[in-house]
Amino acid sequence: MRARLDAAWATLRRDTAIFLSYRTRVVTTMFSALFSVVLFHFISRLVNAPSVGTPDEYFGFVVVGLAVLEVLTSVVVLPGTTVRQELVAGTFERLVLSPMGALGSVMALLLFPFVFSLVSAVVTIGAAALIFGLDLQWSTVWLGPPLLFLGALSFAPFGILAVALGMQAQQVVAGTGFVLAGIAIVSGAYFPPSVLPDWLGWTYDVQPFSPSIELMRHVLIGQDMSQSVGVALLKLAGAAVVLLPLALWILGAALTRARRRGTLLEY
Amino acid sequence: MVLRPPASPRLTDVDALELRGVVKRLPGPPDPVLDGVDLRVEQGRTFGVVGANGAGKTTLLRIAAGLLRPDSGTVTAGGLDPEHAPRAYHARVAMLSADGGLYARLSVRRHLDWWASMAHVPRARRAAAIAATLDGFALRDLVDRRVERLSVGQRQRMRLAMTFLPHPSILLLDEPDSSLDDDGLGLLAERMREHAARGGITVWAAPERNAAALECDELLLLRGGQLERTA
Repeated sequence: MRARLDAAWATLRRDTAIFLSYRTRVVTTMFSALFSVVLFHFISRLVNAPSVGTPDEYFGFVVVGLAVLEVLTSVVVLPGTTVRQELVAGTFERLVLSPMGALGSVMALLLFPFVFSLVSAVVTIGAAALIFGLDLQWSTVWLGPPLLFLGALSFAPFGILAVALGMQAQQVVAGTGFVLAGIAIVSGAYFPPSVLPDWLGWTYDVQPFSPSIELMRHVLIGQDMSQSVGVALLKLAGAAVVLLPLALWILGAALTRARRRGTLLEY
Repeated sequence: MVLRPPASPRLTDVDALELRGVVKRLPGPPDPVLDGVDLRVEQGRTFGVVGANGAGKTTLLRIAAGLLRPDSGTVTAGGLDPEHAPRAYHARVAMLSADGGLYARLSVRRHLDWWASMAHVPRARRAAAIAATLDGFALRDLVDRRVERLSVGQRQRMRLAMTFLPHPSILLLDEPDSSLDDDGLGLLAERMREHAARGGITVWAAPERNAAALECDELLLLRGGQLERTA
C-alpha cells in the first residue's frame, strides 16, 4: 500500500512539473478563474430577484457554484482527456505495465487535475472575497475543503465511467462536455432550481452535484438549504459508496476486455 | 585477491519465462497474428526474435509482458501469470516499447525519479539505482535536460534506462537498438550481458536486418504466426 501511495505521489509531482513547465499556463488558468469572478460580479449588479436576493447575495451564490463546477470538471471531464493524452503519447503502455497496474495508474493520473481544481476553487472564492468583498462565513469556511473532497468522490464515478467508455469506443467521450453543460444547468450552479420548468425540475434532486453545491453555499456563505444537511451529506456519501466501486469495477472490466481484444493501446 | 560484491543482486525469483500454445487474433487481419507459439527462456538466457514488419513480434512481447491477453494458451514467469497475479508479474517483467513512452517536458532526472516510484524501487535503494542507470546509459551529462531537447538516439537510451532501472528479472525489448549509435549499442550490449550474468532473462525483437547488432543465445524467426529456430 505504501509503495502505491508513493507512486501516486510521484505521479502528482510529475504532472505538477509538466504543468509548471508551461509557465504561461499557470497565469492563464488563474486569470480565467479571475475573469469569471469579475464577469459575474458585474452581471450580479443587474440581478435583483426574489429567488436569489440582492446583487451581493447572487454574487456569492454564483461564485460558489463556479468553484464547485471547477472541481466537477476536473473529475468528470479531465479523466478521459488525460488518459487519451497518455495513449497518444505512447506512455499509457508503460503505466499499464508498472506494478501500479492500469487501474492504479489511472487513479494516480487523476490526482493532479483534482488537486489543481481545488487550488483553482480556492483562488476563485479568495478573489471574490478579497477583490469584491464576498462575505464569507468564517466560522464554517474550514468545512469547505472536506465537503468539496466528498463532492469530488461522488462525482468521480462519472469521470471513471467516461474513461471506461473511452476504452471501448476509442473516443474521448466528447459526451462528457455535454453532460457537464447539462449538469451546470440543472444543478443550480448559476441559478436556483426554482427557475427551471416543471418538466425539468426533478433533475435537481437526482444527481449528487446539487447537494454538493448547496452544502458548499451553506458553509461558505451561510445560505439556507432546501434539504437538511444530513440528507445532503447522505446523498453525497451514498453516491460515493455505491457508485465509486461500481465505476471502478466497470473500468477494470473495460481494461480487461480491451486487453483481450487487443485494443488497449488504440485511441 | 579481494572479491568485490556484485553491483546488483542476482535475479533468481524467476526460473523461466514460458509461453505455451499462444494464439492471438487482432482486429483487422483474418488470420491469427500468433498461431500456437511456444517459447521457454530460462534464467540467464537471451533470446532474439526476428521477423518481417507485421509478423507479430510486438504482439508477442506485449503478450509476454501481460499487456495483451492471448485468445488461448498460457503465459507464465516463475509460476506467476499476468492475469491472476498482475502486480507481482509486472514487478518482475519490464518491457521496452518500440516508440513513445516519454514525456516531452520532463527532464531525464524527473523521468527516472518518477519511474523508480512507479516501479516500486525501495526508497533506500532509489538514489543508487538512478545513479547506476545514468552511468549505465551515459545519461549523466543530460540529467537536467528535457526529453524534447534530446536527440532521437538519446531518447532511446533514456527509454532503455527506464526499462533497466528497477532491475526486473525479465526484460522484453522491442527494437532496443533503434536509433542507437555505436556507443549506445555498446552500452546496451554491456547492460544485457550484466543482466544475463545475474540470472536475468531477455527477449528482444527486431527486424531481421538488425539482428547482427544484438547479442543472443538463440535467434528465432517469427513467420506465419509461429516461431522457428534459425540456423
